[in-house]
Amino acid sequence: MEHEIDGWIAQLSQCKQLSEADVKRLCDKTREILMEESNVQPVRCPVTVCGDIHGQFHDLSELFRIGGNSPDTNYLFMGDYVDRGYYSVETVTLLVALKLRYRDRVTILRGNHESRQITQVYGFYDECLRKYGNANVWRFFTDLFDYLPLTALIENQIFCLHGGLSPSIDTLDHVRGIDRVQEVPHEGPMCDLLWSDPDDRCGWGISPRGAGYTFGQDISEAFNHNNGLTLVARAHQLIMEGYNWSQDRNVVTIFSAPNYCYRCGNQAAIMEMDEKLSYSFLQFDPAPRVGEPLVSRRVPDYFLNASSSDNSAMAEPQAMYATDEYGRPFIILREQAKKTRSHGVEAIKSHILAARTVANIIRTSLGPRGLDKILISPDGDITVTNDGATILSQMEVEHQIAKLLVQLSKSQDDEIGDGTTGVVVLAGALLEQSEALLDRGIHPIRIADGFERACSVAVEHLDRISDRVEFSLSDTSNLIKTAKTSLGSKIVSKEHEKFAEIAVDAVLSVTDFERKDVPFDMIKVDGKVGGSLADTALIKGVLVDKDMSHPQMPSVVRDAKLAILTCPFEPPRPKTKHKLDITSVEEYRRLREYEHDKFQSMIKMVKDTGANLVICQWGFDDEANHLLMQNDLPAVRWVGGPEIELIAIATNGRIVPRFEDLSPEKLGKAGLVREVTFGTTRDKMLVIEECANARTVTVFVRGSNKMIVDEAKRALHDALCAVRNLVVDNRVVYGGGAADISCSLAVAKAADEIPSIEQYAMRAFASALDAVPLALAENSGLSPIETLAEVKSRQVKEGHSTLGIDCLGRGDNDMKEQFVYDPLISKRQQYLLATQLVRAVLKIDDVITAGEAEE
Amino acid sequence: MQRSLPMQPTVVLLKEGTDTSQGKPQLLSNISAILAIAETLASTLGPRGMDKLIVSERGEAQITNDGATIMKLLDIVHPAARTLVDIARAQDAEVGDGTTSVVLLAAQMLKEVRGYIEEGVSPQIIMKGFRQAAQLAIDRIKAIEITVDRSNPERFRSLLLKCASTSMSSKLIHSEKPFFSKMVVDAVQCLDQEDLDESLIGVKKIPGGGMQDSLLIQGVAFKKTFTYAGAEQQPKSFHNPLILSLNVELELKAEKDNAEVRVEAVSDYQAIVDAEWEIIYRKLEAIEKTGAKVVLSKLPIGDLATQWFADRDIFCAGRVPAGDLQRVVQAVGGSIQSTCSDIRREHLGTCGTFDERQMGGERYNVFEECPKAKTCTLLLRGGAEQFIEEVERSLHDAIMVVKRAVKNGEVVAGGGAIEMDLSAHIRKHALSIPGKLQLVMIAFAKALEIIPRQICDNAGLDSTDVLNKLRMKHANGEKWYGVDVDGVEGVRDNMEAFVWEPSLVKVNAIGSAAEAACLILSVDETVRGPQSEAPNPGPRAPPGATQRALRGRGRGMPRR
Repeated sequence: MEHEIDGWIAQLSQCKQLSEADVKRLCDKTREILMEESNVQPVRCPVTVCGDIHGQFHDLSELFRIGGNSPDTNYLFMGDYVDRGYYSVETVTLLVALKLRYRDRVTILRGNHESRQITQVYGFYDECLRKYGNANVWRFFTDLFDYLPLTALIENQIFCLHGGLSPSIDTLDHVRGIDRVQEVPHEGPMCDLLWSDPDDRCGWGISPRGAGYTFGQDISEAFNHNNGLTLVARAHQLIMEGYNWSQDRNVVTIFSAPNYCYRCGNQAAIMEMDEKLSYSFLQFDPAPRVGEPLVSRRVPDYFLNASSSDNSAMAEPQAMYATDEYGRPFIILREQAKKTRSHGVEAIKSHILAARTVANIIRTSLGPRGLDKILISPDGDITVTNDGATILSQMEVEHQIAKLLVQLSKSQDDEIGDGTTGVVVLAGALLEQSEALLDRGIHPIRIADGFERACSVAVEHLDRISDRVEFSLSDTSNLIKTAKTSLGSKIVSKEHEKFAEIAVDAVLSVTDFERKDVPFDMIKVDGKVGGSLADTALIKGVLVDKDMSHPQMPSVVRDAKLAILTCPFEPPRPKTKHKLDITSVEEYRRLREYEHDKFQSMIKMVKDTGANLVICQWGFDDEANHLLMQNDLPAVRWVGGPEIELIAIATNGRIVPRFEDLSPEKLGKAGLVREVTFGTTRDKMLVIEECANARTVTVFVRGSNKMIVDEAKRALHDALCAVRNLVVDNRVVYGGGAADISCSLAVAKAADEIPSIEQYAMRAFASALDAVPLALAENSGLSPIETLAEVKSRQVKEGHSTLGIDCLGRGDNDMKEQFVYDPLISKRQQYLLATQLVRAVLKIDDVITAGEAEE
Repeated sequence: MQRSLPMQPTVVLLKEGTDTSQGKPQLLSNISAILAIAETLASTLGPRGMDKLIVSERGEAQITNDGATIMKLLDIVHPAARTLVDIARAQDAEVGDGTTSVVLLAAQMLKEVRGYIEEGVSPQIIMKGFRQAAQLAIDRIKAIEITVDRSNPERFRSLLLKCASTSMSSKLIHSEKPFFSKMVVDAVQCLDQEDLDESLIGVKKIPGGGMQDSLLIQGVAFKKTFTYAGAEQQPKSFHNPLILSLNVELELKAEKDNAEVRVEAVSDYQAIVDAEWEIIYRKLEAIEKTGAKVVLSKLPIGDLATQWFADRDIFCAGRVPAGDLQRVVQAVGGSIQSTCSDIRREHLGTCGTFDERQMGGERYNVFEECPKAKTCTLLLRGGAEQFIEEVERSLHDAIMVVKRAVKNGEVVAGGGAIEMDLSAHIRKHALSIPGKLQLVMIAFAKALEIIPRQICDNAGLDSTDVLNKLRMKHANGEKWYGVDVDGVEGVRDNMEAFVWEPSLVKVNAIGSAAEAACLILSVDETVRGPQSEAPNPGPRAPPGATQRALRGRGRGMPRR
């Protein structure tokens, strides 16, 4: 087999294409290899990184001549092998053959041109037809392209991909989660990775390419920072010099097709990376052309195609003419025909319908007996949740008014972190009520005014019926009960005792009681699949997903003194571009000695301070690793920026930027640092406990599958928020619909005292408030109207505002007895936000939507 | 032999495809177009005006009630109708309020004279009449406007509050009028009263919370910038700190991008490394020596510097947006430094308290009690981004009105009262003029009534009825009677009801509306060149942009 592939490679190196049958065999075999590769394919150093090739076969030969032949040099190609050039077939066949022959020495990623759609426009398809007489070869290759990895990661440090970052991707794990075996989609994270470009402007921007995004320096910086990366290397853009640093050296663009399209006159470049991850760029010019068609003045056909169809997209709008009374046409708005407009009460009604539809979707997940939703994203990610904000944000709502509801639940989530379902249900109910009022001919703004008056009555009433919950550091039972209410409806309800305790413990250990400030940054929630929910634990310290740099280092360090370094364990290197010419053996020996001495002195400096554990943000040389081992200095490498910071805060240590600055007082202190392993997997994590500063905590969530872990994390977040709200403001109202019913009564009473039309709106508000207890009763399998009526009458008769719906069937309607609490601010916020939204919806009487350009 | 005459060449005057239309029909068609636009806008006027939801091609939605904003978003291409956009924008820039009124007035004036145009009255006569009538109206406003008594600061303040709340009455924040008008007046009053530069009022939007949670900070606040490891170990709260604002990158880096160092001997290697560290350390030490406790920079402050500052209990923030830094400097004093050496005390600013605070989901750096507190920051909260944006637009209108009132101090009654009075005044005057001008001026007078009429229509009142009542009142000389949307009667004395508007808004609105109407009347021919080729999208067509260039994109919200 290998012999055969070598034959193919030799043939291809002559720029001779393979037979169709061979291509098929080649593709089949290669697919088996690619299938096993990850979306973020790890790559070892040394390696040479190359950008776009675009079918310029002779320039690829030149590249191999300059960079070294495969397999003597390891290569990483970042996509765009085909199209535009005249030898797409030979180029891509050669690269695929090399991949098959030297699977560990050649890595090929997917570019935006490795797709069926693009290759039909930009030349590869036509070339296959021309060279083989049919489209089979094109089909083999494009099928294979679906399996190409999207990105590569060099030594956990340099992230290589074709296009750029995506707003849907914050961590490398998000990339790993993509189902990549498909045609490049038109949108979504996979598309963005292949299409995005860096830009001078900050933040995300709309890409002029029509796919992907542009991202600013802030984005790339945050991405690198959060993922412990030093650099994003990408291709995708023509660079006259072949390579280009951008965004403060967070991003480098490499382009490896010289004289692009045989007419751009640019240089090409490749990036060579040595064992120590130091990189240098090699620039090269186009290969002397042999037998290639002379550059024609005529622009190749596909350029024409591209530009003409671009024009057609931007072509003048096909306007529908309005005519005046003389029959003379006039156009008032741009692309009037594509704009849709709805107007008046009809517009309001359609909004109400949309909002109610959304509210009805999540209505069933309200309360302790609420049911979960399963959401499947376009990338095939599955989320199981009953958290209102999560459901709505994942639904990808299109309708503008429905989008407002999504933002509503999001802002409740941001502010309070709990009650996200309730607020949407309430808003839906208010809109439903206002529809009836509109039918009776009441002006929408009068309705909104009435709702607002009612809302202020309700909020005042909430203040009146609120109770203070007493708690202290020693007596946390009330807090735990609140956390339990919040967890009651979630997937973790089986373990809610434990989760509630964890949430309360976590919040209390970071709280600053004097300022009533709960810094959430100090609580880290981490999860790992495996074990069961019951294994979830609160770690009073920091958990880092890293292990000791050398397997023989001790896995437990007691009374650890941590040296926290942000410099790599290697001889320091000036940032200025520099060059050292070694002219004599003598000099070379001195360099060796210098490096050796450096290592020794670095270790010594660490040792001298009394440190017995080294946490390092960057990597270190094998030599350094060995020396550390020898000197009994356990070390952890590649610890990301945020984690370094967390460790420093937890251990009261200082982050040290270079060895000379190390001193004993800058060391962090922790009672116990240990490596833990999980089950039969060989995954290890580092736990730092008994820290000098006990205010940092980590919650480590376990669960049998990823969905459960994720949902448990969300549930825990809600519980943490609920407890936090209580710590900040210890006033509560009673849950289970008790507060809503009580407010409903109060509003109805107040309504009767109002002389104007607003009276009707206030009554409607009162009935809308019943929506929450109704939904609770319905979800709990009770007869909703009957139950509500009973509780309502009891509230009036007995005057207790604590009576609510007995969702769990305990036979007692007094929520105070059942300890079902809601923080006052959460309820208050729900009323205010819902009313505000309804006002906005009622106030709109005209919707003008710019149409979408047709396909 | 006699040659036949050369063929008569056709005179090609205009490029092929040029569209020309002229004469009376053109004039009427222009008027129709303008009326169509005004109709869209009409329903937003007044305290019961409705909002528009406008969705752009990219799927971004905006909810607004502000005339200028709607006009801008409608993307009008009709050449005559575009003049309306321009006058709305001019009104916005000049006085910041009354943008809907100006468009409605211009359109209504044209509508009233359309009949005369059809009958063949020369546009020139109409224009003359309009100009005279507009002048009359402006003179009348000047004559009856009421100058506010500024001697009593308390009364003056309450007047400003009234003005602000009138401008808000049609907006989304209507129900929170007292709260926001106080905020607006406070904001304007804490500015330098001589200069009143409203750009010194910063507005920060934080989604979440109710509108009532918005607050005014007498000083500057900006969102916590991107920080490196170590920032959390810095102190986050100071009293009377010295503040240093820099335009310097504090990071270990190559000093010159293109420089290359040739290292001769191994022993020199360490020296170069040390030299680089020396450079950054020298900068940092210079900063520490100034005694500054808060260090801000427009450019990045790297992790090395962050940790160095953390060691010395200094707070730092890099990549502060230029506008924010400018406002900080104006508030705390000092100046932005481009170097770290030779910084003296007078280059530093100070403030009473500096804090990093949690606001909603974000942390904010807040500077308060600034000695040169000629600046303030509005922190707006709201349930959705669209709300906050609309709140911001409404507050902008209110701020402009209050600013005008502080500067000029003359007011008239709103709610259609002044328009009714002007209408009566002009009508009376017109009857004393002979000739066609009389008709034109009466048309102008009638056009002014559109404002009270539309307010009534939008509020669901019977406009004919209310207008008759108003005409009666004004004929009796009760000049401040206007529409009352809340009461049973439908009319009331708006001066007493504190529905006030700065007279400048009205003067400007009537002036621009008349000008725009004249402009449109004076056009009798449109020549439109053939559509030029779409501009070349650059040397290289972006690959693959073809099929999807303009496809609306559903996903665009970055995940948190």
